[in-house]
Amino acid sequence: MSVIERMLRSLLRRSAWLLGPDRAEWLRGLVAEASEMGDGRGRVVWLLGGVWLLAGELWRGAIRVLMFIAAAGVVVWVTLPRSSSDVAVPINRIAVPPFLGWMALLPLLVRRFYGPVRDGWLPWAVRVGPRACRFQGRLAAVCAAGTAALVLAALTTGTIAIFPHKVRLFSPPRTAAAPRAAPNPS
Amino acid sequence: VADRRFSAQTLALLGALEEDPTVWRHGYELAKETGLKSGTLYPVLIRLADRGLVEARWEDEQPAGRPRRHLYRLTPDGLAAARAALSEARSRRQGAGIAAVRRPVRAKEA
Repeated sequence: MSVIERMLRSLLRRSAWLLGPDRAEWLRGLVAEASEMGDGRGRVVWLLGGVWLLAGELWRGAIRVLMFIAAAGVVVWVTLPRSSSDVAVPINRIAVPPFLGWMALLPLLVRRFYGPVRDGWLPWAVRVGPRACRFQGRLAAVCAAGTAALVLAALTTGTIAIFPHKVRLFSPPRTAAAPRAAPNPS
Repeated sequence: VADRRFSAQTLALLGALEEDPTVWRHGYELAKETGLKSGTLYPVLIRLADRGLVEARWEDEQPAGRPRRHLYRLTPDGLAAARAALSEARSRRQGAGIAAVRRPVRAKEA
């Protein structure tokens, strides 16, 4: 057994756990099959295929994690208010973390109870649709509540509260300024 | 499942597994038969297993002189999908062959 072959076998055996229990069995199967190859070069090529498999599976997992992080970032960016005291953004900060948790858990639950994810537009719509509807509904509710609060504030105070300098909608009734006292010539 | 298009490598593997669907096959044997490298063969096997088309198990007994093998075969769903996909591929190939024969005739007619 050559040094390279021994190194590859060791690498694949030690890193199989990275793939999770199901995938690790496949990788172990591949390593076990390497002994069927006749010559040392063939075994090394076979084991390099295992490295390729390992890298591919890790990359697939990383893509999922990166996509989740990106989606979570967008959700936080859209829904988390900059200032919790602002009446125009009446969303509760507390609702965001459970929503992110739900985003993370739902695919795992679906996998657990309904098997692996299937290809095709219909399963994709079934997977994404409820979450998208829920997200859109939440956004619509936030927008409606914000608009209502804004209109209410504008009607009662005559100002738009969303702007920091409070743009006046209606000019307030002018009050007669008191005449300035004439300068004393002496 | 049956109308799903498979890659050429997947079709080759399905063809090899479909020859005798009751027999458990091992990776090296499948690689030899299909000409696929291990880095291609195993990802394809894993995707097929994810879709429920292939099942896998370890050899029951520890044989002397070599490690236990990981064995694979088509599930009933996999067998149906493989037969449908292979017959579709064959008919497409025949259609392409007929089109290739007819094309020069059409060109001459034009």
